[in-house]
Amino acid sequence: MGEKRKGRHFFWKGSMIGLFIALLLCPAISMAVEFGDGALRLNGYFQNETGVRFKDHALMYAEDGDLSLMRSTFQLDFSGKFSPTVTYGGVYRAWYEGMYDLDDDSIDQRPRDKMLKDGDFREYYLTADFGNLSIQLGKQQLVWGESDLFRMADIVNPLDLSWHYVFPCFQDIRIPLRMAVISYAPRWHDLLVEVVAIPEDFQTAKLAPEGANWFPPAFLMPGLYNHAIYLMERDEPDTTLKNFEGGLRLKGVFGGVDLSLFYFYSRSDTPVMEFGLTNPLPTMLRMKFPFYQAAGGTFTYYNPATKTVFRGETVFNIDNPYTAMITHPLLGVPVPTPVEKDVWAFMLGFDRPTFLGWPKGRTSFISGQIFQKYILNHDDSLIVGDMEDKDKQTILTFTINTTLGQGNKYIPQLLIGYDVSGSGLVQPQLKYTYSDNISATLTANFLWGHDELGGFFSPYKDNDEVWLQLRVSF
Amino acid sequence: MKRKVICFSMALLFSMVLLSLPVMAVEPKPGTIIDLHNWQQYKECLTPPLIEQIKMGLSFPVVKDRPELLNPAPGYIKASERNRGKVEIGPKGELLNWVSGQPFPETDIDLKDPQAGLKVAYNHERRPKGDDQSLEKYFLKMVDPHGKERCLGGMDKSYLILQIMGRTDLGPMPEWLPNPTGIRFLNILSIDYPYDLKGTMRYMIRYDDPDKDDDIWMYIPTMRRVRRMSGAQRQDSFGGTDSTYDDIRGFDGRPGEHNWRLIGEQKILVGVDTQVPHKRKGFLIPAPRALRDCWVVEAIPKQKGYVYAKKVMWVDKGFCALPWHFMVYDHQGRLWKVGEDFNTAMRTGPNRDGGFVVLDQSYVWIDLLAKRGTVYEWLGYDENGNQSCYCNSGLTPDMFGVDVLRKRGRR
Repeated sequence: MGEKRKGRHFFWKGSMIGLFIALLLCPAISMAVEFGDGALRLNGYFQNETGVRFKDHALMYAEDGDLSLMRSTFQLDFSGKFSPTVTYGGVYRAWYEGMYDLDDDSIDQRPRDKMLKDGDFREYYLTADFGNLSIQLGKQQLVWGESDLFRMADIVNPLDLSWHYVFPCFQDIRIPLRMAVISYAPRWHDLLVEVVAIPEDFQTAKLAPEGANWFPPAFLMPGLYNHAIYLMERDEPDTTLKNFEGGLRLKGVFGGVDLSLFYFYSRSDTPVMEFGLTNPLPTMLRMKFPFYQAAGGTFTYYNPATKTVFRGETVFNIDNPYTAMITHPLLGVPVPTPVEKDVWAFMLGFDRPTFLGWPKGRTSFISGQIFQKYILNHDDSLIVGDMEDKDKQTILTFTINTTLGQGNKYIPQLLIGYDVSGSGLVQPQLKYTYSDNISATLTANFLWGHDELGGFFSPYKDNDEVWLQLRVSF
Repeated sequence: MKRKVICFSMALLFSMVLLSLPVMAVEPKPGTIIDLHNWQQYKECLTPPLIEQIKMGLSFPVVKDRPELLNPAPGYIKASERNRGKVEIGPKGELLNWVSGQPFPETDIDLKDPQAGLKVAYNHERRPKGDDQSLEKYFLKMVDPHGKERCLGGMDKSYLILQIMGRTDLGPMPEWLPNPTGIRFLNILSIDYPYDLKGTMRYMIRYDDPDKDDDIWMYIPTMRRVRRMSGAQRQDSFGGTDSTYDDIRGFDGRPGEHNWRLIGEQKILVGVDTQVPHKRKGFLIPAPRALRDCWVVEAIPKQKGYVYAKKVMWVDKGFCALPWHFMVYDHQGRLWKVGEDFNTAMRTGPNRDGGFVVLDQSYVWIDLLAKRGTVYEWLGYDENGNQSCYCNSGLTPDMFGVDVLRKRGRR
């Protein structure tokens, strides 16, 4: 009881410090800073996100009432032009996770070294625009696809899931890569031909280390998981041209339908395990990041009669790598072994702005999606962490949001995600905009799932939380 | 005695006539300041949108009309003359035989004609706006009941329109071919401020076919992708302001989606010659107004769930066909919002050395129920006095497209 009270005390202390820092840093300037007639333009924000848990962590890394998040971020977006055809842009981001310092008695301190603070130029790129042809070189994000929340076509950049899983905006958790993107738009049916080449920069998806809130306890036994993270870092490929990834997308509007086809030759950003008698002790495991191919397409169609936009996306992964427990020929026991399986996934969705009678004069944006994934040629030896059915996954999402007040002062939203195997998420959110540059967003996560392995949301079913994001932008 | 009675009666009648003069239609003379104390003397020249503003404290001077500032580019006038007597309204309410210019001259509009309202609507829709417009900067100032302001802004080529059909002054004329899908115009609108919306862009294609809904795409910066939007978005709030996308410059919807009725004509006070940014008192704009002859039209949406139950507009009878004043009713029959359009004449041509063209680049929408308003201003001149709104500057279809959103929308 005393511990809980202490955790709550730290929560309020943390929140107050976060608010104070953000307001202290509130800039007198409210507009973008511009120098030399567009030669340099600066924008950005200070932000604090402070959250508190509703439940004890499944592995008791933290207790009900402890901080789940206390992250302060400074982001600076810079852009400008060297000439009418050559422009540049980028993002610098620095962050500090305060909960390990503020709640050091209750929060597991193991992730502290890796998850305390960081600062880097996340993105920096040059763009040369020659009319229909443009080339963008540098560290950047490239987004494909029509899905919200799911990533079938949006696979060029890996994700950083370590600090708040999939809940931040994807642009804040995509890991930018050094790449070249060549776009050709011949002004025919809005056609866009986009070629991407990532010659050497390979980054693994970033997962939460043991002791962190979003450590997925159900995937593997504690200890082994942390060892897996260690192995991932140890075995992560060096920067070399052998990492080459590349792809092509064709996108256009034909007969009123937005269509795209894409192909991406990808190195898996999550590892598969390989047991080998010659591998380093003690586990004799090695992490591998095999290549696979993804090919797919998307469509978006607006139906005027129903005022509804229908969206779809599908992907076929050829030789998608998995870890399987296969009997070792010498030892005669099942050991982790990389295997390749073809995977087919699709998403169908709709978006419809609808007048519900309230708020007056404002539509509510209603959106739904169904997502299904099939592992073809599946067998029981596969280790598939987030799927209840070993060969199939079905997830439904529903989103409704609207705006209230002048300047969209209030934006309430409700997101529901449901894995038909019996796990889910309800996420209510309210954004309040105090002025052009100051906003606060209150969000809660209510998760449920099975105790045993399986289901997209199940590993995190004890991570219910509420968090406040306070942002001051310029 | 009888003579005295007659004299008395005559004197009484004369007095009554004299007394009644001030409440008869009195046109305010240039120099008159109209405000809360004297507006009733001039109510014949005022509309509910203007009266509501005066009751909120608006006062403004009356000036002489400057019709030369409302003259369209020369090609538009010639095209209108060529059209004369040829344009008709088809069975679906569509415009037949229109090529360019004003569809219906004032003489073709008759109060008894059941199609007169639709004719005015088409005149307004195809009014002279230049064959293209490139408006650099805009600021939408949202003023709440306490006077606190919020802003939405565009900084760089923030509003682009290219007419594909009905071109009158710049080649190719009258239509940019090939145009197999019957596009009437292309439009891009971008938002650069505040930070949370920076990079948001909207690309709209409007077709000539009244049955074909607009195609709309938006670049959503937080998603970093272009998203197809529903046509219903046109009825939603324009960036949290007090108008919808269909309300841009009074009425930016599709005439075929409404049943139109010409309900009268009125000479009213309007902002013919104004400069932006306006000197404001909250959302009230005390700019000078001059008298202009207008048609009064009513638009009832055909779609049941449309955001408004009814819209009334005062549309200039001249070539400019500007919707000077407008108001909308909600589904409970209450007067919901009122608004006013202001003209700032701009020079046309790539070098801005051509004649004036009509450009209603500022307007106000006031929500009477919520007691707040938004002033929409596209800046005609930058801080150095250089013209920053261009008409007929030579935009081409290459400057529009879904890919343009992706390229320009990057933060």
